[in-house]
Amino acid sequence: MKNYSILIIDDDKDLLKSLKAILEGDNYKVSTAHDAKTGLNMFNEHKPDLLLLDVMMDSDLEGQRLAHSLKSDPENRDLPILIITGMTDTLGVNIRDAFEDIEQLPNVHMLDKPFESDELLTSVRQLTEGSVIE
Amino acid sequence: MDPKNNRIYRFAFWLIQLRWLGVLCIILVTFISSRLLEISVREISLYILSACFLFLNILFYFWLRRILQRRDHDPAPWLRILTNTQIFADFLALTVMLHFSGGVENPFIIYYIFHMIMASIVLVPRESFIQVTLALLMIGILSLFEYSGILPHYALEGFVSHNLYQSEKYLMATGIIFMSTSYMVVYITTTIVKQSRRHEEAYTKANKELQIKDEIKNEYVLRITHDIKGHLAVIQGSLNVLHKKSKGSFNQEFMEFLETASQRTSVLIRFVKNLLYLTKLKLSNEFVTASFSVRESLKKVVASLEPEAREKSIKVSLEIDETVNQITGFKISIEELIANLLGNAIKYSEQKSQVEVRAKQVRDQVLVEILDKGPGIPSGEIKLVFEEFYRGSNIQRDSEGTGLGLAIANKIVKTHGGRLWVESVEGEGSKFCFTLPL
Repeated sequence: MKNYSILIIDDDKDLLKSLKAILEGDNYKVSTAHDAKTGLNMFNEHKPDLLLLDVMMDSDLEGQRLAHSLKSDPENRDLPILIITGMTDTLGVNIRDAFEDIEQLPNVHMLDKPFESDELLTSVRQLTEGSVIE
Repeated sequence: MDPKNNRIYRFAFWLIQLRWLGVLCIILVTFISSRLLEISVREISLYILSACFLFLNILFYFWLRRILQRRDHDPAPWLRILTNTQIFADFLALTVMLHFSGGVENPFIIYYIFHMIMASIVLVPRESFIQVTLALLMIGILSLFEYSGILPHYALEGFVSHNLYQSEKYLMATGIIFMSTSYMVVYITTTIVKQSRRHEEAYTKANKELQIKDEIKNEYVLRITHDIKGHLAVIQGSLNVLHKKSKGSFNQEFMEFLETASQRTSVLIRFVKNLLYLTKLKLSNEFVTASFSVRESLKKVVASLEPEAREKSIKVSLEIDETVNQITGFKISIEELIANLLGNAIKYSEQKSQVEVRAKQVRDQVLVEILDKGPGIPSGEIKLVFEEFYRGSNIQRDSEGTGLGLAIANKIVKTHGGRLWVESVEGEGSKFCFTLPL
């Protein structure tokens, strides 16, 4: 099996560490960034197979904006993105609307925070193996 | 703002609607008085008046439409002009009608009062008083002209036998009473209307404030949710890593504590998610509804809980009447509701027992019943089962339940306009039933 590379962008450094450990435990090659700007630079440099993105970072919906701008580049159209969020089942109607259009994009999954490590690994597996053609 | 939401528009429209009825009434009353009661009214003149009045109302109708169609100016002042014209025309028509049917001797003179009340509701007080003064002038001039012979008097023969229109005393007394009554009516009505408008304004303001507060509260819930979930995600992630990496390296006591911490974190996560879900249901009170197959949902949920049932060797039977299929509702919530009730039934049932799920159509509703052979509910507690944080006194206090599942189920059913209830005998089992409209 290919060693897929994953870039995690999240402003919670503790969560970054545990996500990295869980994914590395499953033989993924993981790099991390704790803000969208660094994340974008790292993305352009490493071109990971999957992007794991938090929606709410320093400013609201920063992750969502990043996902949109990446996906609008034809080169990244099929890039698998796993969005993690703690807000999918709350009342923020605007947030929900923001998610609705992002979920329409190809190869985008959402995972509601908090999640079991198995749920994370299943989603990552589905996204990487389902989209990258060997 | 849409001019149709304007209060004066509604009144202008309302007056036009009433006038169609008014014209019909004049024709009918004229016909009955003249042909059936044999009272001498000027039948032809009154029919002509009705036709003119009808034509006028058609003009008013098109005028109103034109005001609404023209988008280049504010419709409000035009609507007020139209309404004032309508009321003035009504008083004029009423005066002409009275002239052809006995003048001041006609009891229909009372109808001025109705019109005055209507005018006071629709118009601002100053306009109401001007209109009433004009109306009193009209009826005063009519009486005076008939009295002095300038206008002919058409007596209501067969109805009023005295020539009251020539009695100074009668005219004076009626005039004074009529005038004072009119002004009093206008004063009282405008005062009541003013008060009710004030209340309406206060109500609208309070409503706006509530909306703003609601938005703040929603934002607040959103923030708290995000923060709590963020911390829980880190705790759970870290415990997962620790659990994986420490396997075989630590003693049993260490592993037990780690296991307890993981388990309790999972419960806390479920609790927080449930609590938020319940809050959401309570606050939003509306779903995006669509038609879906409740038959498929039942099958899907039963299949999804099969592993739990198999673990306890419980047989889950599903019986759905042929008529049960499409309902309208929020599919995800309905499936959660079924999973919630069925999950409980499996959880509290004895090993190797049976759980039954039945669905049938009762009139215009779907009735779903879930029967288990669990410990049942003590009779004194049946009323409490759907309360938040209720836990049965006869079930073991495990660490897994959150006490919110049935409260959520109840809220889902209620939001859909259905009913959830339970029949249970302690020691024998429970039957949870819910109905949902088709």
